[in-house]
Amino acid sequence: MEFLNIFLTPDFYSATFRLATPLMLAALGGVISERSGVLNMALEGQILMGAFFGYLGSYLFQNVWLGVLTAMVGSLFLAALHAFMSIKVKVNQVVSAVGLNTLALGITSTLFRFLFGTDSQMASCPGMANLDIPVLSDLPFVGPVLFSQHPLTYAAVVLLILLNLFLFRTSRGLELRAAGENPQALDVAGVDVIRIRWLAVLTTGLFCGLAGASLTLTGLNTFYDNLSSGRGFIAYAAVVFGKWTPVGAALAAILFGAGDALQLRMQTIFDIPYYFYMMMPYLITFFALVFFMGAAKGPAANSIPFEKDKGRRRSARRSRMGGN
Amino acid sequence: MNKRARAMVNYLISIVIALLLAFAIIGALLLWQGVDPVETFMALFQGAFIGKSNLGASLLLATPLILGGLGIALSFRCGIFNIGGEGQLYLGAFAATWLGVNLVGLPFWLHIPICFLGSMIFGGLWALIPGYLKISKGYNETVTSVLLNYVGVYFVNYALSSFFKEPGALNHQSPKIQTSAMLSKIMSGSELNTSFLMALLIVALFFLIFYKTDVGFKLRAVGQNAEASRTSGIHTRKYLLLAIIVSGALSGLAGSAQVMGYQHLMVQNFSPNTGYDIIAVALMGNLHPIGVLIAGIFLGALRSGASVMQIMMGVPVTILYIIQGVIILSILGFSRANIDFIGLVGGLFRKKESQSMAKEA
Repeated sequence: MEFLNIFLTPDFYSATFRLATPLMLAALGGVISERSGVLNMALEGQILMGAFFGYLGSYLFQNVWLGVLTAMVGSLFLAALHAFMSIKVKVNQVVSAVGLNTLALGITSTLFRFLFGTDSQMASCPGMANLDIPVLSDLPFVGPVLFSQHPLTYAAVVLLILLNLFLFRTSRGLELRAAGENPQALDVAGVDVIRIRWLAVLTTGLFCGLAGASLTLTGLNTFYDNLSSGRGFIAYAAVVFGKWTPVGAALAAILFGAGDALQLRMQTIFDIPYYFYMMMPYLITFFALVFFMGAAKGPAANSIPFEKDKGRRRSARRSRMGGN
Repeated sequence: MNKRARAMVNYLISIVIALLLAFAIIGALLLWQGVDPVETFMALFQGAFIGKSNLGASLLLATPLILGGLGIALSFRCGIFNIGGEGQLYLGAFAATWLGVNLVGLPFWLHIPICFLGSMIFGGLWALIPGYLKISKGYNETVTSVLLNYVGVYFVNYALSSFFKEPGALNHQSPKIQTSAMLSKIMSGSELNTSFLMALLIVALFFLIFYKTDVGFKLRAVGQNAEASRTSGIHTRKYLLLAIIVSGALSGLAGSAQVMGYQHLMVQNFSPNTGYDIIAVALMGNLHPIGVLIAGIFLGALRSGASVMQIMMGVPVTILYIIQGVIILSILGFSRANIDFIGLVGGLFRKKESQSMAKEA
């Protein structure tokens, strides 16, 4: 009975949205990149970069908003590398993501040690306070759940709406989706596929920067090694689970956030070892993928690098060889 | 120069460039921090190769990297991206430790193989989950295997804090394994043990099976072109499944080799990030068994050198992750771009020749 009471408290729902924020931001970023045809398993590394550089910026400038900005810059750096590797060099995007994640782990934990020493006990930086929306936050139940969150949670919701409108209501959004489904056709129509993909991957970096900032700058206000601890992969799973739509990915992120909030609350009620709670977010994500998903089909050209002149080059070669 | 040798030389050049790039980045970081990069790298290499005990430590740390790297090389070769090495390694080590502690009174020649077998079964079964989901349902094996990493590691940490905890120990750690399950040392003054010899043997076996037998041929065929091999009558799914199970088993072995070789008990997080390091090893080794052997020894040496470096210079070992990341990315890039370094250099010479010829004329 005590267990069911969890679901009656506004606290639970409020925590759900708080914990879902980084997942949601990263998952939305993932949707953009994947819809444009670039596989993005490097969300993890980008979140980590965002988390560290957000902390660093906020600490150095003593201003949380400049921290958010540096988070986005740090994450953008990794995203640019990702775009370069996947779009320009055309490497295998799964394996390069492993490299990028390792690199992010190296950069963040090395810089952290260099700048803050090995045993600096938590030099804390300015963080963000919850933003109460006037009038609405005074509503019973709904108020604390929806209208008394930190600013990045609102940002996530706004970005969700904007992204949804952009993808499905604008011609630019159509072009982005076409880049992931049928880039050849888009190219014939005279649209620069490469440019769209670059912009998409870089935007993903900005989203992940926000996601990282929402991990470090909203209460934790410090950093430790490998702080993102797999959230990027959970966000990626949210993209898949949400069938590559912004709304789906956001709902999946909220579901995973709820799982996280639930485990934190269950710890106080049930005498189940702590490690199982730690395991739960990953296990829930795993089972969500396995049992409720069915065969997922992503964008058709996802993870396939775009070769602009493929057709033309082939016909040129054929004519050079004397055939037709 | 024939094509194969040329590709080989090109590959080696690309690795050298990747390493130079990695060390240049680290060097710049060190300069910025006011640490002498030359001295730091000297400390790194000294710790890695100079002296019997350092060399022994390098080979010791290389052992799990070689074993796990072979598994990753196999799975990547077959086009199945198993990045769940971390979980497979932990579960394998857990199985071996459990058997090593709880089987009492066995002679060593029976006890040791049983422990190894247990670790291979656990690692292989843990890899079977993403493998099965990939083959039967088409789920992306990278996501599932990564998620299972966390599940596996937390499970093992749980075990070490509860039913498998040494009673009375302050840390969360397992009891010590029986003496009959401990591997014997092969070098005085270092912890180097027979697991290194086993790794060498497995490299040789892997080479023979992969390149000289029917099964190996089919595995390679599936990796080269799954569709073509399916139409030519190869049971593609079976071989994909075999590849991922073997890769999990080898990761498991990488875990048990550490426990049975020198740690002799398991502590929580006993082998952090090894499951991802082996991916760097496999890629650096060009997904070839001999290459994996060399890359494994190299990264093992870096690891052992880095701890000396940390003590001597105060530079954190985490720079290894930067080196690894840069290596993975640049090797991927170079091999994809397929740059013909020999041709490039040759081209420069030819250009000069033609220029000088033009001058003469």
